This record gives sequence, structure tokens and C-alpha cells, in this order.
Amino acid sequence: MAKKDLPSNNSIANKIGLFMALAFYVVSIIMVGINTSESTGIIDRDVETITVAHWQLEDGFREGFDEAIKQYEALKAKEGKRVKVIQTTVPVRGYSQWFITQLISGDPSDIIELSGASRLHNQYFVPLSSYIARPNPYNKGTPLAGIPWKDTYIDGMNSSLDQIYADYFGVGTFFHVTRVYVNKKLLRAATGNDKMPTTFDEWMEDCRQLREYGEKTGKAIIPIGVRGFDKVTLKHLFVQYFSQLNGRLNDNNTEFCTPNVSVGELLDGMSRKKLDRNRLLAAVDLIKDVGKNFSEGFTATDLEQTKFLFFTGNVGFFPEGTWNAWSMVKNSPFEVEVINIPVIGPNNQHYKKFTGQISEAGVGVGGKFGITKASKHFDLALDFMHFLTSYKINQLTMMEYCKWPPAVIKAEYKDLLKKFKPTEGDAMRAINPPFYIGKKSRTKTTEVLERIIINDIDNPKKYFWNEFVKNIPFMLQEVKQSLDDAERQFFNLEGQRSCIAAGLLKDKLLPQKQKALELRYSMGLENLVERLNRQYNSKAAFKALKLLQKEDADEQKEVK
Amino acid sequence: MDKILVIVGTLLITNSLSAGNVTPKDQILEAYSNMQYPQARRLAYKHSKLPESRLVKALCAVFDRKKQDLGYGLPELKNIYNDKNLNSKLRLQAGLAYARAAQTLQMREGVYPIADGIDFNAIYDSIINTYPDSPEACFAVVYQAQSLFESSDKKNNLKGISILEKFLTNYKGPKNFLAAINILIADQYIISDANYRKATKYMLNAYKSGISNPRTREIVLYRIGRTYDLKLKDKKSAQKYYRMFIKKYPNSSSTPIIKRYLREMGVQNG
Amino acid sequence: MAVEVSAGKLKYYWPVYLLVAIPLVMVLIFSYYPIFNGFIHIFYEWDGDTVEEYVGLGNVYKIMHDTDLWKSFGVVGIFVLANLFKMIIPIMAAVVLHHVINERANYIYRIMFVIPMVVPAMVFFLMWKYFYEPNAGVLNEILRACGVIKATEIIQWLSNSVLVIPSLVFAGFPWVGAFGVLIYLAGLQNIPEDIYEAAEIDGAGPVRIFWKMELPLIMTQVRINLILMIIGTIQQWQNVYLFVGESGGPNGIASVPGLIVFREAFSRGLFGYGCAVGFLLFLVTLCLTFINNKFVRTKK
Repeated sequence: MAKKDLPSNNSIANKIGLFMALAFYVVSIIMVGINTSESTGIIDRDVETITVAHWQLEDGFREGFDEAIKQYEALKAKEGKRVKVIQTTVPVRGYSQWFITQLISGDPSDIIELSGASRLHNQYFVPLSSYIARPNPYNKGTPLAGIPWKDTYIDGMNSSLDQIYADYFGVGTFFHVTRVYVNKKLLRAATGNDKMPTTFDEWMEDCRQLREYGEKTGKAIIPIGVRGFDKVTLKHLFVQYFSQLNGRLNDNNTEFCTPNVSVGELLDGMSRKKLDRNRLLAAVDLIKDVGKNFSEGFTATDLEQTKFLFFTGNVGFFPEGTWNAWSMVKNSPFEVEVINIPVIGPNNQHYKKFTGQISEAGVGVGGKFGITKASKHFDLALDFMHFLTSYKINQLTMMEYCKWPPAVIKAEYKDLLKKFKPTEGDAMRAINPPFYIGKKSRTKTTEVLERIIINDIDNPKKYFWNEFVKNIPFMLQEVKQSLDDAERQFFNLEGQRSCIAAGLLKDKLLPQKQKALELRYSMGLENLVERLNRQYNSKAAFKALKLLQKEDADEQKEVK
Repeated sequence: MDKILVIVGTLLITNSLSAGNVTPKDQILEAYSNMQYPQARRLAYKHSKLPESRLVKALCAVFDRKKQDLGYGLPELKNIYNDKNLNSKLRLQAGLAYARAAQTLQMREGVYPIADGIDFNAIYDSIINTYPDSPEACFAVVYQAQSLFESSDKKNNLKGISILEKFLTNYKGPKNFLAAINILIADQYIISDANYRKATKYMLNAYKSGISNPRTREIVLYRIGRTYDLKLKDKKSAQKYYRMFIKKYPNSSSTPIIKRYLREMGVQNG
Repeated sequence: MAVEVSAGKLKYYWPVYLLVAIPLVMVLIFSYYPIFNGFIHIFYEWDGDTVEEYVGLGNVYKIMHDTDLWKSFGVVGIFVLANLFKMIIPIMAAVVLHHVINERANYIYRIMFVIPMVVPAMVFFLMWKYFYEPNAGVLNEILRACGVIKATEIIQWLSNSVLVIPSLVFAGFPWVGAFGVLIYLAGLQNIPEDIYEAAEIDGAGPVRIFWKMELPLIMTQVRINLILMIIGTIQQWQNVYLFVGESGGPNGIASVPGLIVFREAFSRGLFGYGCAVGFLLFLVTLCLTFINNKFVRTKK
């Protein structure tokens, strides 16, 4: 079919289109130019610019940072220095990949929120151990004046200490705990009162009433909203209830009398039948009961969808970290109560195994920011980090803006934040269940729990155990991988030792720097000894898994 | 005029020797110390006559994984160690790095054949005998013991423990390096024999000698108290160390747990 | 047509060859070198950065024993077959558009097909993810409104192991890809008028004209699109990642090889193994392209 020429008055439309395209192109070039010059100081060379990158997109965080940046730039301007701090945010889903590629490219931001393996931190970030023993200069005139920087933290900066390389590659800015957010209005409508559940059975009863209320009113009510997409909620609840039932294992089952029993020690106990398998699996029953109250299709529901359902009044309870607290409370058109995760109570079939509520004391500080070795403005970056983690500014950014617990000691908890203060509970420590080692086996274990919930499996403990045994080959691969990694780390640690020793060989070494290097040197040897202990535990885990595999094979033969 | 020139010259030289000027040797060592391998290499090639350059070049060739050249680095480290014309400190670093690199590369069986056959234990022996009070000797003895402990054989375990104990008896160097050795002995007594009495003794030694890592310090004190309580059934000693822990680490995640242990013992205000 | 170039001509035409050499060098550096580098790393345990240990055929051995990987090829096979079927729709749309007599209407319809192309693929997938949301998603709401399901009933499109793959296949309905439509339309517009006149004279109806005339004459375009479709489907993983996450859905049932490459390399840090799986994907694509070239003939 031959085509006739288009009408000629289209040439005007074409010209308009071309003009618009050109205009947008020119505007884009100008915008790119402005943004690039801001970060590289092409146009304004007197301004010293640093970039800070992180993945915290939660409500209030960026705003708090912007305020801190504004105050910092103004402070520096008063001192006669022109500085610019640019905040860059990257969504969490792509952050770890972005992080690696930025570091490998050699042109990362000056300050980056840490992610990934210790090896990357050691390779690309400036060790800060020389600086943490000195007071933070921005704490003058506050209750933390004169205190060494590390002692201004609630955990003494212990969680910032890299256990593999025995150094500090970043400093934290906040900590988090997990709470349950409750739609008070919905709960009142369903149960007829404002009583919040404190025990597991009370919680399940409230959920039952919520479901009934949903059926009565024809609404799709979800008793417990979860983050199913990234499996966070299910993993957390499983660890929580496993720990509540097996807390004593930390007390009595450590060969080395360490504060935490290792996965290797637990697997060893399982393989030698020293541990009560029924008790180890009891948490699976509880997870099945909890899971009955999740939404159908929960495995495909991500955080944003669950939050949306909560805000629209369709969800009764939402177990989630305090990182989302402010958005939960601010965006809900109803009153939101914040409670602890309910503990196993006297009416529960597993109460006899209950050892106590998990302690949150000394919880680790997160949101660690480190200065990259590639940064051309180390002094300014360090100064900004001091400013950000000072008594006044840490509380400003964390407590005032995003309602997060801050990393500094002697913080003044008010209003909503009072509910986030760590509790000691029954002074039981959390335990990592011995059913997974690395990412792959953890995902597979969580999928087993999902299947138990979705398919309403009759004998969940037996099913879980059988699936665990099927996962042993993956766990063995992961243990082998970790042993291989440990061997590589020994080599890297020697490289690190030689670097520290080289620093000590210098003729001109300031006494402070010498002391810091000597400290790192001796910490390196202590760290090596700890690595040897961990290697021993990994080998024990490997042996135990092999024994469990053999036990299952023998049982299968007997059955046949 | 001459006098003025001499004064000006002296002032200039003094100025150049003051804190502002860094010698090439220190520049090279500083760059390597910061793991800035490309810069360290560049400076080492620029000032290649310095013995430190030779050491740093060899260390970069071994430990800079991006441009690793074990074929050059390992033999060069060995040569530096054997070169009696060089400063003993440099030789010591070269020897220890050579032996440890060989040991760790041999752990990766089949991957680094270039390291096969290197007798690292002989070099560790040599370091321990020649520099008995150095921190490097502490590293060497731990490395040596590691190769015995890895076999998981009880006989080798006890042999490794006796090497470490002998070293401790003879060592007169900086005390802060002894903590790690004491902890290692304690762990090995538990692994080989479940000998908690001896383990506690060495953990106490470690604590008293001064542990550098604050987290390790906390854990060792916890372990001492817990071993007395759980394994040795010595409640009195356990209480003593539990109380010491609570006093020293009031904000620790272990403090509520230790208070619970004291309560379970029937101690009030636990 | 290529001809031999004498030294004298080369001296005269050197600017032309230089201009061609520049993009050729860029292609060699940015396309071929990474492929070559990736191939070399099949034989290494590589963390993407400094750890690089020669493991020989270790990664190949791992591939042979990776049941999840082989299952994922089954899944991608389903997607290829589904996309094969989906190729029919743009062909039909192009034929219908080609037969629109009114010039202005034809122009407007073409614009309407092109405009959605400006929507980024990720936005498109996220919209469909919202459609599939079990509690408040558009699809379940429509089904509830039509009475197909009860008010409190939920269909788990992406978390049910039976429904997840069909849901991924169905995403993008009615699958009228503008790119394909324009390609086929260009092919149809090249068919001379007299062929249509001859067919009319012979008494051929529209169906016969399509089967016997139009389809064979646009077979070149169909073949190109088929190759591109196969390559694209085998390589694609972003839609699965967006819909069901890194784990590949319930029990990893919707995992595709590309997702496994991403997971192994970027999540677990096993770049060497990722390269090995990537190379396997390349071999599979090459085989299928060869089969396609051999058996899908174009009649001139």
C-alpha cells in the first residue's frame, strides 16, 4: 500500500517538537554541569566539597542530615572556610552492588555508609583507631566534653571495631531495636478494649478476634502485617522465639565459656544428640501459629505494600524495626501503639521450655560511616564525622528528625522515643538457630518456614527437620567457603601486620601515632588468635553436619 | 658576609630537618603503612638505593593482590632476610613476612605451587632464637603453633602448647603481646584436654598482662567468671570476677546476663 | 562489497579508515575485552576485586551439580515459548494498522503505539507488580468487582508456586510491543501495491493474503525479531528480580539463569562462578541462534 505525503501543516508541529527537544537537551546539559561543578569544584575552586553517601531513605533521615549539613557549613563559614557537603542517597536494594562498584572504580564518595565484607573496609577505608581515643572537639560544653570519642557511644564503639582486621573503619550514628506497631483503633474495634498483648497467646487471641472482625464486617483485615518479600519479619520472629525457648544454651553449652554459643557448638551438640532436638524445633510450631495471621500471599508483599495496608487500616500488628517508627506513626490516620514482641506465656504448650525475654542491653550501633582512602579531603571528612556524631547533632539528626535512638550516651529520650529504650527483659541473650550458616541456607530455611505456613503442614517440626537435612549440602558448601575465606584472611592479616610494622620502622614518628600503631599491632595478634578459635568452630560445624548427613542416610537405609 | 651566609644556611638546613620535611625512607614506609601500594611502589622505585625500598618492593609484590608477583616477592624477601649487610629490623620484617606468606599460601593447597616446599617453621625458629624479645617473635611463635594445632591431633596440640609455654617463660619483651599467647594456650587446653583449670590460669595471665582489643578484654573477663562458675564450680571466685565485670563494663550487653547469674547464685543485688 | 585496498589507496583514504578504527577500538575495549576477561575468570575463584585463585574446572563442576541452575533453564524455556506466542500479537497489530485506509487515523494510531515506549521498563514492571499485589492490587480488585472472587478472597499471584510463572508470563498483556509493530509495519509497507492487486484479482481473501503473501514477505523481520527475542529472554532477569526478588519467588521456582548470575556474583561475591554461568548462557544463546538461522528460512 503506497503512502501519500503527510499534510504540510505538520511541519509546524515538527518544528515545535524539535525546539522542545533542543530546549530540554540544553537544560539537561546545564543541570549536569551545575551538579558536576558542585561536586568537583570545577567552577568554584575555593569551596572544599565532600560527598556523603548512604542508603537511609526512611522518613526524616535525609532531612536531619540536611539540617546538620546546613549548620556545619554555617559554622565553617564563620571560621572563614568555604565548605560544601553533598548528601547522596542510593536505594537499599542496589546499595551493596553500588558500594562495591564505587570502591573498585577508585572514585567513591568521601564518606560512605559501610556495607559488605570486612575485606572491603580494610582495603578501601581509612582506619580510624588513631582518632577514636581523642575527645570529639564538637562535644565541648556538653555532658560528653573531654570524653574519648569512642566512650561517647552506648557500646563504646565496640560494634564499629572490625573483628577481622582489629580496626575501626567507620563510626556509627544510631541503633535500632524491633517493636510491634499496633493499630489501636482497629484493635479496639475488634477486641472491645485497649489492652495490648504481652504474651504470645494473648497476641494470637487478639489476632483471632481481628480475623473474626474482618469476616463480620466484610473487610480484608490482616492481623499481622509482614515484610515477606525480603523475608525480614519471618527471620526475626524465628530467631526471637528460638532464643526465648533455648536461651539457656548460651549459658551452659559453650565449650569455651564465651558469652554466645556458636553455631558450630550447637551443631556438634545436635550431631551427638546432647541437645534436645524437640526443644530446638519448638519455635517452628510457634512460627506456624503466628504465620496463620499473616496475609495470604505475604511472601510477595514488600515493606511499602505492608506499610500502605497498615496506613489504610487493614493491618492490626506490624513487627518492624524502629527505623520505620516515625513513618508508621506520622502517616497513620489513627493512633499507633508501640509494644515489645510478646513473650511465650504460661498458657502456651511450650511454656515449660520458655527461658526468658531477650535482653536488648548493649545493642550494637549501626549506620556506620567511613572515610574512603581515595578521598582528597580527609581532614574535612573527619571533621564532619566528628560534627555528625557530636552530642548535640547526633540527637538532632536522629531523635528530632527521624525519631531514631541515637548512638551517643546520656541522650534524652522523650515521647515516642521512650518506647525504644533498650530493655533488659529476663537477661537472656539471642541465639542464632543452627539451621543455617550463610545466605543461601538461610534463604532456604526461611522458605521452609514459609511453606509450613502456606501449606499448613501437619507435622511442622518433622517437616522442618527433613528439609534441614536436605539443606545440609548447601551448608557444607558455605562452611567450606568460610574456611577457604579464613585461609585467605590469614594471608591478608599478614599483609596488614607488615603494613603496621612498616609504620613503626619510620624514623620520625609522633609519640601519639607510635602508640596507635603499637596498639593496632598487638590487637592484630589478638585478632589472629580469635580467628583461630573461629576456624576451630567452623571445622566443628563441618564435622557435625557430615555426621548429621550420615545419620540421615543410615536412617533412610533402615527404613528401606 | 660569610658569617651571614653560614647563619642563613644553618637556619635553612635546620628548617628542612624540622617536622615539615619527610625523608624518602619515611615517605616509602608511610605509603606502605597506609596500604597505598601504587604510591609505595612508585616511591620505592624512585629511591631504589634505599634498603627500605627493597623491602617495600618485595612486600608489595607479595601482598598487593592487584599486582601480585610472588615469583619476585617471595625470593626477594628471603634474600633480604639472609642479607647480613642489612639492618636487623628490616631483615626481621622480611623473614617473618616471607615465612608467614609461604605458610598461608601453602594452606591454599594446589593454588600457589610457588610457595610449596618453603620451610617456614625453620624461619620461625630462627626469628624466635635471634630476636627472642621482639613482638615479631610473638607472631612467629603463634604462627608456628598454628601449624601444629591445625592437625587436630592431641599430640601435636600438646606440643604446640609446650612451645608457647616455653616462649612465655623466656620472653622479656613488651607485655601487651603476651595476652594473645595466653588466650591461645587457654583455648588449646580446653580443646585438647578440657583442662579448665589451666585454661583459667592462662586467661587470668592474659587479662593481667593487658589486652589491647577492648572487646576481647570484656570477653576474657566474662570467660574467667563463667569458667569458674560453670566448669570449676568455684562460686566464690566466679562471684569475684562477675562483680569485677559489672563494675568495669556497666553498659555491656553481658552485664544483665551476669547479674542474672549472680541472682541465680542467690547473691542479692545481682 | 569488500574489495582489496592497495597501499596507494590506503594512503589516500587513511582518514576514513581512522574514523572506522576508532569505534572499532572502542568496541574491542568495551565489548570484547570484558567478554574475554569474563571467559578467563571462569577458571578462577574471584571476588570481583583482589582475590583471584585459579581453580581450573572447579566452577564447571559446580555448574554440573547445581540443580537450581538447571531448573532455571526450564523456567527460561517456558518464557521463550511464551514470548514466541506473544510475537503473534504485534504481527497482527501491524497487519491491521497497515490496512487502515485513512491516512490521518493511521498516523494517529502509530503515534499511540510509540508514546508508551517512553515509559522506562522498570516503571512498567513496578506497575504490574502493583497490579499483582494480593491485598489491594488492581487485578484482585477487578476480579472482586466482577464477582469472580469473593470480597475477602485473595489470589496470590506472585507468592503461589503454581501461579507465579503464569503471572510473570501474563505481565505486559496485551503484549503489543511498539518496537515489534513498527518493524513489521515497515516490512509490510515495502510490499508493492501490484502484488495486492494481483491477489485481489485472483480472488484471495484477507486471511489468504496474510498467510501466503504478507507473512512470507516480512519473514526477514520476523526472523530478526525472533533472534532478538530469544537472546533477550534468555538474558533477562530484571523483571523476575523486581517481581519476586533475589530468591526467585516461592522456593526459587521462578529463578532464571540471569538472576542466578546476579545472585552468585553480587550477593554471594562469587564472581568467578557468575562468569561461568554467564558463559553457559552465551553458549545456549549461540546454539538457539544457530538453530534459528538454520531452520527459519526467509523466502525471497
